Amino acid sequence: MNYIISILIFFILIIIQFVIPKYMPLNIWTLYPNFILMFVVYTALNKGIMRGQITGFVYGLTWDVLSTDIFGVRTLGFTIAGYLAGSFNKKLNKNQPLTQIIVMAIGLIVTHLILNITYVIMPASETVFVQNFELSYLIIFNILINLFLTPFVFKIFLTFDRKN
Amino acid sequence: MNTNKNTNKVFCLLLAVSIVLIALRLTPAVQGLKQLVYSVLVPDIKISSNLFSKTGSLLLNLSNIIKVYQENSELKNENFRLKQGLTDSQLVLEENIRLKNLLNIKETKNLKPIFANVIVREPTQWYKFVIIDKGFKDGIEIDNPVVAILFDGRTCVFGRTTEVYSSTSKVALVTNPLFSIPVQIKNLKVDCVCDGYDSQYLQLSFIPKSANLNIGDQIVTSYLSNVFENGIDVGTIVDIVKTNYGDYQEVTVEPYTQKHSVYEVAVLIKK
Repeated sequence: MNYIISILIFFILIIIQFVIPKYMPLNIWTLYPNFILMFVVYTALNKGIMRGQITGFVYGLTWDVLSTDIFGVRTLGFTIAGYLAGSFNKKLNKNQPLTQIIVMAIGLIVTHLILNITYVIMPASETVFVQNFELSYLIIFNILINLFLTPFVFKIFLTFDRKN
Repeated sequence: MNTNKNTNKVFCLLLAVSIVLIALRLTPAVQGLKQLVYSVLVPDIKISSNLFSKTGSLLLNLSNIIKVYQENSELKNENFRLKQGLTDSQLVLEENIRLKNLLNIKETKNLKPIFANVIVREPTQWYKFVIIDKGFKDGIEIDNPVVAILFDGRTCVFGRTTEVYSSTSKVALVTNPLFSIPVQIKNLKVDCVCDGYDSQYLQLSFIPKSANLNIGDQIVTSYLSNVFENGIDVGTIVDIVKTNYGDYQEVTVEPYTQKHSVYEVAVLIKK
């Protein structure tokens, strides 16, 4: 039963992350929240390192498959984010919005850092938008939107989690 | 402690796999893996994408239908307004023609026209009387001839004033049984009397059987009339009956005023 729910959640998240933005204007698309990373961080924070890193790996791999970005970069970033977020499990009060925001911030920074380091180390041949360093105001704004939404999205995840 | 070690081992394994994936991102093995995951996920993406696009197009169609409905009702209203405007302008045009024709009435030596509007025509008195908006203040007297103007500009007998008030007058119509006027068959110069009988037709009296009348012959006022000047149109013959008894023919005339609606008239008063 748990597997079915996990698969269902997986597909719902994929749809939310990849299908809905297609129907949004391009300028909003770049600011679209990273629901998948939120789920990875939520899972890691609530279920521990093991579940966190595996969830991060699976979702990162899926993201890589569905995007034209450097293959494996999201897998690496989400796995590390899941591992780091999982290491705070049982150490912090995970129901506190501030805790959730801080852990999510760590996850976001790690992901973007890995992404940018990868871009610097190996200039992307597959990506269309080659940038020297991706830390633009859009990225900062995107991070802020993600952090703002984190407590609300975590609440939704928690509600869904409790019902199951 | 053991769990932690396992967790770390798994983490290292996952990291290694990730790094390998990055390093070997274009190798056939990695591409195969990508293809595999893609083939599992993409149908779902396609379905959801189709679902969203269909929902989107459904909403678009719905909003289009609403827009079309609104536009249709606006156009209907506009169409109604335009039709009304057209009818109004048509009425104005007709009135304009009638009034222009009224202005064409020439003053004769003894008579001058006073233009008046028909303001009352009771259904129960339809073929008998009308009320006009001019009275003795305007110089109208009892038994003044009243004429109407046809669309082709001709003047025709409408009736005569029977009661005159300060600003209104009652006109006995040509179809009123009280109305009787000496007339002439235009081409034959045959004099006779035209009587109304409370219908849309008039009757001609005293036409000898020998007179060769035809349907469509025009009837005009005679010199013998002391109310109307001679030569004013009255109507056309629509029926002729020659009986074995008596010396006269029974002739039915349709007055011109029955063929057209009359709203404006001219009362001919003495100068």
